[in-house]
Amino acid sequence: MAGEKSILIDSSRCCGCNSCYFSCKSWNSLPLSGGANKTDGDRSTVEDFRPQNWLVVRSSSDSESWSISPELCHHCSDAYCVKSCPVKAISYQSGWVVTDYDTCIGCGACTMACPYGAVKVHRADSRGFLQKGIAYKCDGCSVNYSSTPACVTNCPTGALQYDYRMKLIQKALKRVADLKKRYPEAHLTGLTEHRGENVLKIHTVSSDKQKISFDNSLIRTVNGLFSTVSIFTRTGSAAYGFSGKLYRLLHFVVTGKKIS
Amino acid sequence: MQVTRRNFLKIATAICGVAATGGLAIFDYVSCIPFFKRKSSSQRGFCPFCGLNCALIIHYRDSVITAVEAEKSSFESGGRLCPKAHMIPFLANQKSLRELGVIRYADSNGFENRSYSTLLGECAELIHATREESFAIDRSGLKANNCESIAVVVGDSVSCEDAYVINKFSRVAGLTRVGTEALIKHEAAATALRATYGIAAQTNPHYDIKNSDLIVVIGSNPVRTSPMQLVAITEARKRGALLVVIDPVLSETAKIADIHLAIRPGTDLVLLCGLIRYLLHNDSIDKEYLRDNTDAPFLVNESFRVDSNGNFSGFSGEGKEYDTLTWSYIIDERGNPKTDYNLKRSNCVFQILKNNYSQYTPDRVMNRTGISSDLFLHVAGELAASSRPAKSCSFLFGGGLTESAGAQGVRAVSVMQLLCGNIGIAGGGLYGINNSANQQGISDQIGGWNCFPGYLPLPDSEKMENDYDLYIRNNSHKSNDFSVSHFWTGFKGYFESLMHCWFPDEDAKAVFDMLPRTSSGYNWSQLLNDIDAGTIKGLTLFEADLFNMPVPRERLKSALKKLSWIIMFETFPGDFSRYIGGTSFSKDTTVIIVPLPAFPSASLHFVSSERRFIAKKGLSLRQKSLPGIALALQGVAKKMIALQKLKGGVFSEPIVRCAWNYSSVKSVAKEMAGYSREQTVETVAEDSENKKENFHQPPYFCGNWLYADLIGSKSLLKRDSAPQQSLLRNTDRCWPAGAQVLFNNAGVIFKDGEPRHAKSVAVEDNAAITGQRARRRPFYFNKDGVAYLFARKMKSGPIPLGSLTVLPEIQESSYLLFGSDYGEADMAQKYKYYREYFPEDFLLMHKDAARDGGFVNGDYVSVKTAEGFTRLPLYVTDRIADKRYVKIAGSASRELLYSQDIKQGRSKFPVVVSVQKEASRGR
Repeated sequence: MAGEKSILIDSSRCCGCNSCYFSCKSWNSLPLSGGANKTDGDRSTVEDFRPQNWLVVRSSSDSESWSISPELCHHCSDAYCVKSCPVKAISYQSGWVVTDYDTCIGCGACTMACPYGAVKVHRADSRGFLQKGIAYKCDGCSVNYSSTPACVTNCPTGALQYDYRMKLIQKALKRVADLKKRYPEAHLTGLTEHRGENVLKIHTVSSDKQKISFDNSLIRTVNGLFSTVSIFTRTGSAAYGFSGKLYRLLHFVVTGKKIS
Repeated sequence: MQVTRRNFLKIATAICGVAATGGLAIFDYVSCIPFFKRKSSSQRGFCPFCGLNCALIIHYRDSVITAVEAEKSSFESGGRLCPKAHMIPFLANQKSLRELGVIRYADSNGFENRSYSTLLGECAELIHATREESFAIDRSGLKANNCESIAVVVGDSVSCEDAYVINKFSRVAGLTRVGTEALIKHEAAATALRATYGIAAQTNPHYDIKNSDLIVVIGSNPVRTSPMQLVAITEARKRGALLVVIDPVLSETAKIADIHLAIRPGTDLVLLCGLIRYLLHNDSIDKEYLRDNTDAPFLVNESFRVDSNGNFSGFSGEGKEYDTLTWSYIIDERGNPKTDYNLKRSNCVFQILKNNYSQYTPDRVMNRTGISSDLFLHVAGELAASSRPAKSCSFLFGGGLTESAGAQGVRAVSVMQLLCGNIGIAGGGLYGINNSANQQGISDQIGGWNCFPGYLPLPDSEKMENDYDLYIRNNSHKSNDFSVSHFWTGFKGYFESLMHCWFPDEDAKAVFDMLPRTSSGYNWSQLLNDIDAGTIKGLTLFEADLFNMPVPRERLKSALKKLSWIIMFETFPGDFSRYIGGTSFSKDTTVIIVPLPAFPSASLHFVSSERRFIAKKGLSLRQKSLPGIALALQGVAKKMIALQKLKGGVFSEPIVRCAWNYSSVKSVAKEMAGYSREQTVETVAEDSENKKENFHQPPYFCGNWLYADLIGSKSLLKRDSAPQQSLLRNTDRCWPAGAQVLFNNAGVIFKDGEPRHAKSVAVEDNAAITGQRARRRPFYFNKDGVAYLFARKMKSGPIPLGSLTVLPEIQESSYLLFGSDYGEADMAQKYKYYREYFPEDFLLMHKDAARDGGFVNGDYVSVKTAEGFTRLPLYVTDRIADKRYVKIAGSASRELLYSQDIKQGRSKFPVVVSVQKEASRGR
């Protein structure tokens, strides 16, 4: 279930200053990703989620309806990553979906399951806070015991807001109604998707342009398989590693693609 | 709740209980910084990356900065930090920080380490030797007392104290080639503001934007340059203010704006002229304001004319300077300008404006700028509304405006704000966006090539200012109007207080004879020519990057090889010092690199762009033992005195007699702020409370009259504890005299001193001050006490007039180039971290133009102008207004675009370039 408080992303207010991106890095001690990834003449964006990019700033380059907005883990109430984790390392913590780094085996099931691509496994050598073979994602700054997520605190324009969920929904629906005049395709997501997401988002363009890449049937197969496998693998750490390898092998056999 | 012992116990018990039961949830409100970072000491400071100087807290442990966080009560940003501020740990933690001084002698191969004091000795030797060779007491019959073969360039991250001491050191040694990087970015705007208001400064504090009803951003992109400005803008918009962005490119700011005017590049001035015409012809002006506070009623010399080409009388051919004889007011027998308070006579300034702007009809403006009539009329209507009482409009301008319209662009904006009566009231004013933090502070110390601290000019050799009385008379303008009490009246006091600091034992007249003379009008291209010709033999750089100079880089590189020595004071190596230290640089040049403490470990004062004093103490980090520029230069000066005494030298009096007794940075700050002869350190703070009104007489010792009594010695090196949110006068550390809103007397009625409307800042003042305000002209830096709509000091014309001629058609494969993202590019060059944000320079091209020309996104292209060329990656976008235009984002455009005309008049903008695809990708 979604938590008591939620984040609202208002992409019509976002100006692409990247304050959220950098404050996320700073707050969580994440290393830099070494130069923003720029495409289509947008220099205000960081495109990919990576183990060290928990929050990215995405932009569409249509001048008519140019939209920039931060993108982070949506903290779904019915999260595929939680369901797919063989070792139950991902769990719900008062609305936030949080990884337990000690339990994680780095199998990569969650990276495949997440429809937003917001969770990534650190495959490179350990670097600062990041350990090799652990999945990292946004934790809503909940593990750092902050009153407000860092990205929200630092937003200068009010594109990111943090408040009681009911209040935010009211506000957001009103805002969407206002925005319809200027952006006919304006809409709100996060109310019903994945049984409610802890991150509500106002889009100014239609969501067709969003990249959502997941296959429900595959997820279901994998989930079933791993709930069985995980019963056996809970006993020893060696078996944890095996489970991950098995998953990756199976995934390769089924889809023909290697997991990053 | 009052904290009593009982309450404290209660709270402590409650906390323990919660901690025991609820675990770590207690940190919800205790912690502002991640748990695992908090085992550290912290100190208050501020951000050194733009003119806002947001307050922040630096956490450090074991001489390493662990984190920065915004101060929750920060009025600049409301407890937020922008991407740049997160670079502060990087500043002090990076490995390449210089800790050892190095020297490379001429004809030797590598750098050798030297102890700090030996290094200062070497510096003194070099400066002494060059000064001996080329010091001249006479130059072509005129008294000179100067040495023109040493140039000093000051970067834009040095502190006020450092800049002050640099100026002191240079002038005492007789150096006249002293320039600052702030001049490069700031000079055009400063020229215009000085010609209009008498001083170049931002009029209102940043957080005052929230009181505006209309915010116009022109030639600037605050989202990139100072993101936290958006906090105040957002607050204003919540109140219903309108945000208008004038920019040829759909920038990030334009994306969130209510109205975006996508004008053609280079047509800013025409648009502004069109808006001025709309105001004048629809009578949407504040006439009472104009009569009392501007020169609108002044009568102008009847032979002043403007011809059909937009040339003013006194025109003597293209490219030549105007004869400004006819640009004058008619003076009455008492020496004051004659006036017509009905604003009806044909030669009063108001009618001259009205006549000359009548040509900018909406049709013509729309033709030239390419915007639709609806948008133009909408914006013009909103602007007209801001001229009504209790309505205000604030203008934010940046490098884009001065680049395309030169100083006249800023003049046009100033005229518009004056017509609407928006200067000196809450929510009004002009905001020049400063990319570097201490631009205002450095300018206050080194206002130009020929300035003492506090904008006091050096004696001019061409005006034959060899007599002390003549010098004082030339510079202290006295008005015969009883209602004018302006700051320059006290020039003698300012100058003598400064000289008491520098030469405490000397008589002012004797000091005057020792000071260097100069003639005005030096600039960057002359500097380049002098280096190239070998006239300048030595170069001293203080955190400066000469690659920022607006001159062709290849020419600069070849010229630099002719220098006989370079002294660089720097924190960590940038592109420029890597080039000087590299193998490709000449081996005949002696190079000395003196290490400096990084920003977090230095104690210093900055002046933010709202003229506010801010201070921080140094942290004990890795470089704690290093002194800053101020103390290092004192070391050099003392060694020079020793050399003079040992060997003797030409004109050694100023050097030998100058006082150098700074014990710390604090003592420099104390000298700048001033103290009386009798005063001990303790009494300064108390006395300063009473002295703020009495500005014409700074204390006996005062290094910079602008700062007189603003910082008492108790509050030195401390940040304000309680930030001021109100715009009260005399409560804050803003110069001059604590005025947060400059010229705030413009908000009251001239006759009785009553506030004009609710936006008048004087409303917040108490009655006593209100009484004093009556019959005082507000623009106290100008001779006549009023702001000049008709600016006689502008060499390119007293009225800003845009050219209505349409650009000629250009050939197929040519494009028109514009762009000014220098600030970002400079940051990216200096700090590796910033490349995360701004990876490299690139060329923006319209989608259709790319399709026609056969370019693909990401191609490397070469951009050629008549003067130079550069290679860049190409980014295809459809956010440019017109497909004929291309824009360079980055510093490469500075070389291609910049021309010296920019300071006074129009630049050759935009430039025609050819863009060609390069065979290979990558550099």
